Amino acid sequence: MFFLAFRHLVSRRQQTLFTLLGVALGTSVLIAFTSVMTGFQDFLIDQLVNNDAHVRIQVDDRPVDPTVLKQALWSSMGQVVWVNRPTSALTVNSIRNPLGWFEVLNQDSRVYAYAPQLSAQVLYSKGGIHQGGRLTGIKPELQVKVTNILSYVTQGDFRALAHGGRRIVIGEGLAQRLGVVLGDNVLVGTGTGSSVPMKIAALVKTGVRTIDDGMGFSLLNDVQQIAGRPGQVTDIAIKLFDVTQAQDFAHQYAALSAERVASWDELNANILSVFGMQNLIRGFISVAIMLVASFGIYNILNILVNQKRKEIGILRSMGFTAADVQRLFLIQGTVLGGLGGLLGLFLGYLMGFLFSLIRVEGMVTASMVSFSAWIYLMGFVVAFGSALFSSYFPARAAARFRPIEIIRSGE
Amino acid sequence: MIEIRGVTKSFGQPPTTVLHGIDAVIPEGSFVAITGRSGSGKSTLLYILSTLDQATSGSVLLGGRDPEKLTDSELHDFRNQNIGFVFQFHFLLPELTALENVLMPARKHRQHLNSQRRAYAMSLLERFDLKSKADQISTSLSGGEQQRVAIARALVMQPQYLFADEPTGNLDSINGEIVMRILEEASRERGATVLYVTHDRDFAGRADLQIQLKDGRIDQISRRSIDTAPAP
Ligand SMILES: Nc1ncnc2c1ncn2[C@@H]1O[C@H](COP(=O)(O)OP(=O)(O)O)[C@@H](O)[C@H]1O
Ligand SMILES: [Mg+2]
Repeated sequence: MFFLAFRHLVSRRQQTLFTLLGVALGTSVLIAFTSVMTGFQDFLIDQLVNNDAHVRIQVDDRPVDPTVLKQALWSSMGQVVWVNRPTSALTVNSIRNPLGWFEVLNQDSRVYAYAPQLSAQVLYSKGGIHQGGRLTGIKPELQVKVTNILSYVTQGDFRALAHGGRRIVIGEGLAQRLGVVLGDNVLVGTGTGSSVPMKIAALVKTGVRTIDDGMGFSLLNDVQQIAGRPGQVTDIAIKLFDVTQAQDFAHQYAALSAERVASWDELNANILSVFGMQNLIRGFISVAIMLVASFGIYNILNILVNQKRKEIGILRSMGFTAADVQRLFLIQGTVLGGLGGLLGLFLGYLMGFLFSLIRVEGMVTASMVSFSAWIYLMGFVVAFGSALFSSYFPARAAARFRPIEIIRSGE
Repeated sequence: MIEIRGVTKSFGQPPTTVLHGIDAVIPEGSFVAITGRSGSGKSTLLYILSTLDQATSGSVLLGGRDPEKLTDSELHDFRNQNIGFVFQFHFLLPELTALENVLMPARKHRQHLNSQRRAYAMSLLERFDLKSKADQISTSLSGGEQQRVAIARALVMQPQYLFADEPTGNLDSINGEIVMRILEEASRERGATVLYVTHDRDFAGRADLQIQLKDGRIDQISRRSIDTAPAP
């Protein structure tokens, strides 16, 4: 039946071509769309997972809910009148027992590295220009193990921080705003103490403007001193050997401590929920695209089957079975789906390739388009599957024709 | 031998009976004409004999075999190997050339690649004066040519039984005569049992056996006298 199926397709050249193009276009759009979305998501997840810690121990500064507090402390009382309403501004603003944490983390075999940090709001100044921002005190040799900060260094030497002597690494955006270059001094002021000059040892650029315009890193000891918070730590950033253990790890320690212990996906829950929405939309669009392509195949085969009644009758009278007739039309549908799908893979790759040439402003990595084989496999399976599905019904209808009725009626 | 035993056929509800207990025995290799007025049941009988339709009651034996006792796939194989059918309207496959149409039944068991089968198909076309048209798309042929291709297709599997329902009905007298000669040849030279429906007195007169139907009954069976019939 392959022979006759192909002859049918070839004899309706134009229709076949348009159907092929329809399927190919649907498949390619599906693939291009998925490539870009997956690429973007992979890129962001890679950033989230690799650029920053897998798990972060932080001061728990989530807002305090007065009703929860009342329930916890004075549940038996009818009415509580607050003299001072509870606020989220904690009196404790650093991790209570960092040394205890270090001891625990040292003994946990899942931990690849951890890095203590002290984050403080500061005012960067240079020659009368002021810019608010955040200064993070770090231990450079640990920080580079836990985050990808090194890959964002555009000028200077990040590790030079370790030499001490009040050095600082700042974002390129911040440097531009202050009008400073590598090797210059900037004044760093905290709310409490006086301003301290620091020498710029390196510049970094993450591509995310809000970070680049206000970010600074310095030695942990220096920041503790400037901020007047000796020995204090606000965060412990942890990198695990296996990122998939992050959730379990975080839950386990969160249950035991007063600090907030959050895994990377909890820290970025808002971004991940956007992904969920994106995937849902992608699913809808995929279904819509393939429905259109399937409907095209269904329609064409349905018309064809009815046009070919006479031939179906004659084939049956020659000794071809109902199954042969069904195959005749199934083959046509699957050839359309298969060839259209293959063409779609090629077009989809081409589109993906073109998209990958577009540089998104501010993004560091060159390409955010995924060329994963899975996407292409999915595209082909969807195209082929929907072609098979949509040709099944016309083919079955053809198989059910009664040859005697066709032949008797003569038309 | 075709044995027809008490074949009746009814259609619809309430049933109208179209064939009323047909009985006949047709010897192997005969050339048989079925005649009768329009609506007398000729086509209905032919469809039942050729396994395309089933009798409401009674039975048909083709070479001693009852097609109704075969499974579906056996029945289709039986049709493919033993039965050729020529319709009033040619029913060629329009996408295929003349030769491809002729070889179509051979495709069921992939015999279209068999060199003997191909040679036989070509010899049929040659015999039917279609050699030069073998590779033409069938729709480009004239009505008479198409009917000859259809007969070549019906003969390509060298069936024992050939059924033709008004094969000349749509042709002019010259083409009708050509088709009749071909059918006659199939019976006399190839030994096939040929049953054809015709309205033409002359064509009917060339048969060994004439079965005349009237209102679904056999009105008359006439045999050509032994001495004028060619030796079997
Ligand atoms: N499927 C059917 N349903 C109802 N009546 C039918 C059917 N097929 C044939 N008939 C009737 O059977 C009778 C004989 O038909 P047919 O065998 O075609 O006659 P012929 O071939 O001799 O002209 C006609 O009256 C026709 O209307
Ligand atoms: Mg008739």
